[in-house]
Amino acid sequence: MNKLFPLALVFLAACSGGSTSGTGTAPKTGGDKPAEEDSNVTDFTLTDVDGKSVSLGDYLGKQVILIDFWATWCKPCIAEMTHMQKLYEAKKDKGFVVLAISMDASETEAQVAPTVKSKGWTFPVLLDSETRATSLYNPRRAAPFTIIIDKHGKITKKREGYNPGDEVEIEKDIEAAMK
Amino acid sequence: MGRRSFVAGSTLALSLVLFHDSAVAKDIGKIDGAPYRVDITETALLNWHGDNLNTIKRVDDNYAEWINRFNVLFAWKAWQVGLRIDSAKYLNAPTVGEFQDRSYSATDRTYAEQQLPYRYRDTALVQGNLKPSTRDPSVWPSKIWVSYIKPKYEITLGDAYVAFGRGFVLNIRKFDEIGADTTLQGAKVVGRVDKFTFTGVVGLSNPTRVDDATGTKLADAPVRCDESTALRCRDGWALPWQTWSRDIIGGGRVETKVGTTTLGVHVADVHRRPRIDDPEAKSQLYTDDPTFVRDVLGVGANVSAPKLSEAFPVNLYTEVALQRRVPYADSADPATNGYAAYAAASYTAGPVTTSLEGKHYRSFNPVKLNADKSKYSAFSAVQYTANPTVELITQDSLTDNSCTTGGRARVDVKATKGYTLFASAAKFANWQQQCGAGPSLGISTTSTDLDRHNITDLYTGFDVRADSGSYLTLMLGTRREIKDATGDFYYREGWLQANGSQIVSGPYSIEVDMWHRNRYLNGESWREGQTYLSLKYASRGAVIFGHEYSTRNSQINQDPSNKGHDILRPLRFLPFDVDGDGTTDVQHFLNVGGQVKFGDDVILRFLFGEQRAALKCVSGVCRFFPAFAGARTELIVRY
Repeated sequence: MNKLFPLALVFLAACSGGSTSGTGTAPKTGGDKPAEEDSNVTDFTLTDVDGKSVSLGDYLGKQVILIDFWATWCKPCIAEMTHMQKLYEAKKDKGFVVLAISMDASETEAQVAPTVKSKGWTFPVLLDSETRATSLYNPRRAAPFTIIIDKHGKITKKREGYNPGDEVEIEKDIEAAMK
Repeated sequence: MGRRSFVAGSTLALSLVLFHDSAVAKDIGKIDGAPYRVDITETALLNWHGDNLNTIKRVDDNYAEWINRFNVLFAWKAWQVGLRIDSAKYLNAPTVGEFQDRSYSATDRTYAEQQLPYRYRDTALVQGNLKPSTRDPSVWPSKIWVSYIKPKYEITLGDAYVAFGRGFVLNIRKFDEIGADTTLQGAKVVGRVDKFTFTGVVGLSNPTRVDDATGTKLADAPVRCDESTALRCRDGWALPWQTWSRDIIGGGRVETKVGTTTLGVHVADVHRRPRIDDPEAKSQLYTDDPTFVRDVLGVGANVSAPKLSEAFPVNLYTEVALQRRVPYADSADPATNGYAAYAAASYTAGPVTTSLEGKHYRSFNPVKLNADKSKYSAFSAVQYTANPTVELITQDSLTDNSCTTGGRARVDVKATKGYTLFASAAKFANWQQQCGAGPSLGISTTSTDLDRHNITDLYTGFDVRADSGSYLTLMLGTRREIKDATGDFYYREGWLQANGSQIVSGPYSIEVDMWHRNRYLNGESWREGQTYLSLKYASRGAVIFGHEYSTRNSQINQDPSNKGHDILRPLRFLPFDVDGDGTTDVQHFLNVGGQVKFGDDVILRFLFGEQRAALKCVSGVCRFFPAFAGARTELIVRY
C-alpha cells in the first residue's frame, strides 16, 4: 500500500495536463455528452438487460433521474421497485426516468432479465456485475439504495433501505427535484 | 486493547454523528472552474460479545469490539480518488495469561493457545502473552485507488474490483453478506476501440483484514518464532511463521459487440508466491486445496445475447472455461486440468416467463485465498473465482461445485396484475471433487468408479402484491441428495419460507420474515429456523423481534447448566430441555433489534440478544457464522 501511494501521485501529476485538455473546464461526463454547468455527478456507462449501452450522461441535465441500486435476492428492493414502476409510468412524460442498477453478480445475473420481464418493469435496468457504478455511488453496496438527481445534474437525495410507505417520501423528493 | 483507546474511538464515532452536518457536510465546490464531489461514508460497528452458549468459554466471550470503515471518494473532472481507512479496537479481550488459570477446561486452554495469536488485529504474541503490535496497527488504510476515466479508456491504480464473464476465471469483488471484500491492488486498464473493449489487470490480492462478523484478523505481521508459544515454535528458526500469502493475479479480457450480442474471451493467472518461512519445507504453503499450487491459469469465452432475434426473443448467455493448475518445481505432483461449461436462457411469452440454467463442471475448482484455514477460518470464504451454482443463492447444503452436471428450470406465471405463481425443478449429479483431472484435459477416473450423488431440488410458491404496498411471498421446497452406489440418503430437506408486509395505517406497517427447515445430513436429523417480526414506520425506522431455534446436536451445548451471560438470561424463558431428560434438546435464540433513521444521512441499527450458528452462502461461497450472544450496533453516516 505504502509503495503504491507515491506511484499514484506521480500518475496524477503526469495526467493532470491531459485531464484539462481532454474534458475542458466545464464538467463533462465520462460519456460523450456534457452535463449541466454545475453538475457534480460522474458519468458511467453500463449495458442494460436488452444489450444496449446506457449512460447516465444520456439523461443528465435533461431529466430528473432516480438511480436505484437493487438485486434479485433483495426482498425490500423488489417491494420498492413495484412503486418505482408506478412513479415512472406517472411521471416519465414530465421528464423523469428511473435507472435501476442491478448489483447481481455472476451467480444471480441470469435471473435479472427474467425478473424484469416477469415483474413488467419498463424503465432501463442496467447490469453492474463489475461494480462500476456501485463503487462510485454506493460503495457500501446497500440494497436498495436510491439517488435522486435533479434537472441541473445535482444530487438532491440519497436514501438507504426501504420500508413500506417510503414511496410517499420518495415521490415528494422527486417532485421537489422536478421543480 | 486499552479501555482508554477503545472509549476514544467510540467517542470519535459518536462525534462524527453529532457534528456531521456542521463539521464535514459541504455543498458543491469548484477546483479550476470545475465542480468536484466528495462522498464520505462512515460505518462503525460497536459489538459486545456475551456468552454465546457454545462449549468454548472466554476465547469468544465477554469482550467488546469497535470495527470501523471510513470511506472517502473524491471525484473531479475525469478523476476519482478513493480511500478506505479501517480500524479495529477491542475491550476486555482475552489474554493468553488468563488461560493459565486451571478453572478453564483443557479444551479452552488449547483453543486459546491455538487461536488467540491469530484473533485480534492490534496484538502480537510476545513471550507467551498478547501485547500491542505496531506491525498490525489498529488503524490502517485498507483500500486506496486513483482512477482516470475517459470515454475511450479508463486507468485505475490501486484497488479495483474485477470480474470476467460469470466469474469462472476471475471474480474479485465484495460479498457483503458473508463479510468478504477483496480487491486487486495494482493496475486496471480498460480501452475501447471501435466495437472492441480491452481490459487488463495485474496486482496483488487485497482481502479485508478484519472480519466484521467475528472481529478476527488476517494478520499482516508474520508470527515470528521468538513471539510464538513453545509448542508452535520451531527451535532454531528465527524466521517468520507464514500464515497466508497475497497472491499475484494478472488477467485480460477482450470483448466485442455484434448488434446487442456481446462476445468475449478472457484469461487470468493466479500465482501463489512460494513460502519464505521454512527453507526445508516445499514451496507451497498449504496442501489441503487443489488450487494451492504455483499457478492457476484460467481461460474462458462467453456469448451474451439479450435477444437472439426479434422473432425469437430469447435471452441467452453461455460460457466455457478451462483451468490448469501448475505445481511448484519441487513438487512431485503433475499439473492438473479442469473445464466448465455454463448456459442460461430466459424467454417471456405473455404472462409466462421461463428460465433455464445448466452447468457441466469437471475438476474446475474455486481459487481460494492462500491462507491457513485452521488459523483463519473466518476468511475461508475469500476466493478469486466462483462457478455459478445454478442453485438458490442461499443454498447451504451444496457440498461441492467443482465436479457436477445438472440444470434448473423455473417458470413464473403472472396470473393477474398482483398475483404471480412460480415453480422450479432442478436435477444435478455431484462427485464432490472426486473427478480429479489428469495431466491431459480428460478426467482420469470414470464416473462409475466415483461416489456419485444424485440431487433433486424442487420449490414452488406465489407472490401477491396489493396496490397499497402490502405483499406476501410464500415458498416451499424439498431437496434430496441420494448416494448413487447405495441408494441411501446423504442429505434431505423440506423447507418453508414466507415474507410478507401489511400496511397498518399511514406510514405504519408490519413485516414477517420466516424460514423453517427440516434437515437430515449423513445420519443426523435436525430442525432449525427463524422468524423475524418487524414493526415499521416509513422513513424513520423499525423495531424487530427475532426468534431462532435449532435442534442440531452438533451445534448446541448439551450442558443444561450452561445458562450463558446474566444479562441475556431473561431472554431464555423457552425450555431447552423439552423431554426433561437433563440434556438440551432445542436451543432458542431470542433477540430484539431495530433501525433508526436520522434524516437520510444517519442510520443506526442495533440488535440485543442471541442468534444461532449458521452456514451462510452467497453465490456458492459459504462460510460458517458462529452463534452470537450480546449486543450489536451499526452506525452509518453519509456526508
